[in-house]
Amino acid sequence: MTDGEQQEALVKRAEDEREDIFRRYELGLDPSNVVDSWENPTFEIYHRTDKYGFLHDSRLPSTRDAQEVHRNKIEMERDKKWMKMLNQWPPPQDKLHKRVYKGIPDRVRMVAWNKLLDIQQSINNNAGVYLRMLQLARKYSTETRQIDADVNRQFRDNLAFRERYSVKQCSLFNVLNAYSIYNSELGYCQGMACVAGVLLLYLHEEEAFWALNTLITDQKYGMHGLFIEGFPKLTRFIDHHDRIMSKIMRKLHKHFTKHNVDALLYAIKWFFVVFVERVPFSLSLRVWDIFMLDGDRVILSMAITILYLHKDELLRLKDMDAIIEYLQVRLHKNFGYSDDDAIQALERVMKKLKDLKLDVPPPAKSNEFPTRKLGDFVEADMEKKIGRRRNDYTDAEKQVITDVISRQEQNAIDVQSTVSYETSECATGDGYSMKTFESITSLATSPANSSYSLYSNGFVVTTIDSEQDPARSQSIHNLSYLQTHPALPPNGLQHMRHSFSSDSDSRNRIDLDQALEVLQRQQLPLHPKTPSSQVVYIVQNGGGGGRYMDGHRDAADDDDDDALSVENTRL
Amino acid sequence: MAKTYDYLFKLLLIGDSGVGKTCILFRFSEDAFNTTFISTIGIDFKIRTIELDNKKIKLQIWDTAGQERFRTITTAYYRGAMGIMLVYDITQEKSFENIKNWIRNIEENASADVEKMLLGNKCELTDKRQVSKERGEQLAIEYGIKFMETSAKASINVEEAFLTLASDIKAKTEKRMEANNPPKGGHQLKPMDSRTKDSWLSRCSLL
Repeated sequence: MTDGEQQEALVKRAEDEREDIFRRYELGLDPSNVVDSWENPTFEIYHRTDKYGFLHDSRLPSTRDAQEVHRNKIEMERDKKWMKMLNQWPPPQDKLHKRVYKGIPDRVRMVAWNKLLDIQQSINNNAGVYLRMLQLARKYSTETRQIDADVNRQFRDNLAFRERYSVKQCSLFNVLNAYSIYNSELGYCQGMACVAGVLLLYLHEEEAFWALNTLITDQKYGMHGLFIEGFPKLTRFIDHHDRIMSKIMRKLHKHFTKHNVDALLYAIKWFFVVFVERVPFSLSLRVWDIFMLDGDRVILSMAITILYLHKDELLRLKDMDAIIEYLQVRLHKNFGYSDDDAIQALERVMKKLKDLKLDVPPPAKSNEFPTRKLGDFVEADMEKKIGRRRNDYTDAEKQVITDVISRQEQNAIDVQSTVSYETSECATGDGYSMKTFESITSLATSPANSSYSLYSNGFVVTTIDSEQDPARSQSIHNLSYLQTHPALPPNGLQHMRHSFSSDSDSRNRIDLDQALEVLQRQQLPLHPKTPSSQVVYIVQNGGGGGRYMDGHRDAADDDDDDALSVENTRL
Repeated sequence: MAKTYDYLFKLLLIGDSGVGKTCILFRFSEDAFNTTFISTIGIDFKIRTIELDNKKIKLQIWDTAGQERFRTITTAYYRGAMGIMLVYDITQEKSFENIKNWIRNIEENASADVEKMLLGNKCELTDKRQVSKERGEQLAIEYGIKFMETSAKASINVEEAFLTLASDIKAKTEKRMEANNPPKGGHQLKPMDSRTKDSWLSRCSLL
């Protein structure tokens, strides 16, 4: 077979695969559409479902408690008010604001979301577009396989999505495929299935398509920048999130830094799907309501609200696993605050951030919005058609890697500069070894193309324990050796890392004072891209190490008062 | 407070979207097959502590999103990894073809001596198989890494795979420590490479 023929065959294979997948969604629940047993979890009709259609492992209580009866009564009252308001759209802004923050009653959510996102207008302006996109998708989408895989994993614990090829699964599949053609620059990104899935719980297929488009392309929501290659908005929002944390929740921020909890670890999901599957579904819907009303700054505020409400508990958790588990799993199962309390806290946080002029992140760059005309069909390149992964990185991608790595490295440096705030705990126990080991591994491993890493710039991080270190003279030797060998190869670093992890090798330890001297003499050229050959020791010991990196900061921050609680605002 | 483990190993699971990385991890960390599947967005991790030769080893296993555009974020996590599981789906030819690409990604971004292992997942789906076991073995030999076919669903080889990887890392780590090199020469250690033709294992019991 010639190269051309081979390529043709591969494209054909991808086309057949796509057609096969589409055909199966077309068959839907037809008995001839045989599914693998694992794809259709036994339909557990005896499991009780909540009012959103989610199945729970244990039966829901058979009687309603007084609180729930009360809530239902209120919601019935609100239904009436909302129906009236929706018939006289648009309502006065303050009235709408008040009511949305109180929560859109579930029964009117469909109409309310329609109004908030002006869906009917989009449909009227784009007659026939959705169907055309869907037809083009069937012929040309290169995202079909990925979408299929994600539809198969989206809300499988919800009645509407539980059965393979159910009506809602088919709608989700169609909406995402059509959208991958409509916004060809964006295509499909994991996370969009969840967003579209939530919309489909309340909207019809075509409505959901246009609602999704509004959330993605409208300036107010701008999710395009979250999902597009390079994730520019994610970076911008996480930076701003960190900025807020460092200003008003310093203690928790330090605590996270110390335990290597990079905001990236929890914020991707929070931001990409607006808290769905990270807080109870009923609460995430309340956040969605407000998001639709007030736009993307709600996301930043909600992130701060969650951390603020759980600050004390998070501060008690002493390692990364426990903190991440708490944020990812525990809060989804049990938020610990009623939805109303959480939303009231959110409102106060929003106000506080506004007062502090922290509510608005830096403006979006142009790459956060589509540059191509929506709906213009562009055929994919050969590699995409075949479905092969690319080997090379685009400049935008390289930038993301650089950004993430420099976050990790900055974090590792911050760890060293903040450990003194709880030295007793650092010196013993799990937290200590975990933290220091992490900071060493994240820095010490040398990637082959580490042009961005601290390592390649000649920085070496090691740890010392000067009080117990018997080998001061040896240290001097080490120091001078390392200084004369700027290009320490990776294995040496590995060696240090491993010896540290086993805590059995003191030969790599150096003297604190000398290291400080080195630091000062060389004035820490920390810009990641500045080539330099210095070897820098970021040092630490049991009694307040690391302060050399940033000595003035520690004293100032020791008794940090959170700005949020300065005014005795109980959130 | 006493240290609760002797070693902490950072492992990474990579491979195309939908090959079963999260299910493998779920099987290993909680011994269950998750029937309400969720796609991983960004990066996630789970912990399990195991015991090997009377040493407690805490495994911190990072799970990554498989979609191509997430590779930027996940790649940044290669650097700290001491072991990497490369996963493909035996019912998805393309996921196997892409392993070459993943390996290249490792070579460019991970530590040169990171321990690697190749896993062909979903080996219980025999009638849907597109990639033979021999091809998996062959590829593993080509790259000098170990290979197993696994099934997160039927609980085949998952435990074995992680224990093998962990014990290889442990051996490497201890060898390095024992080498007892003077600090001068610490960096001169060569990565261990004792690969042999029979170093891969393949014990998918359904086959």
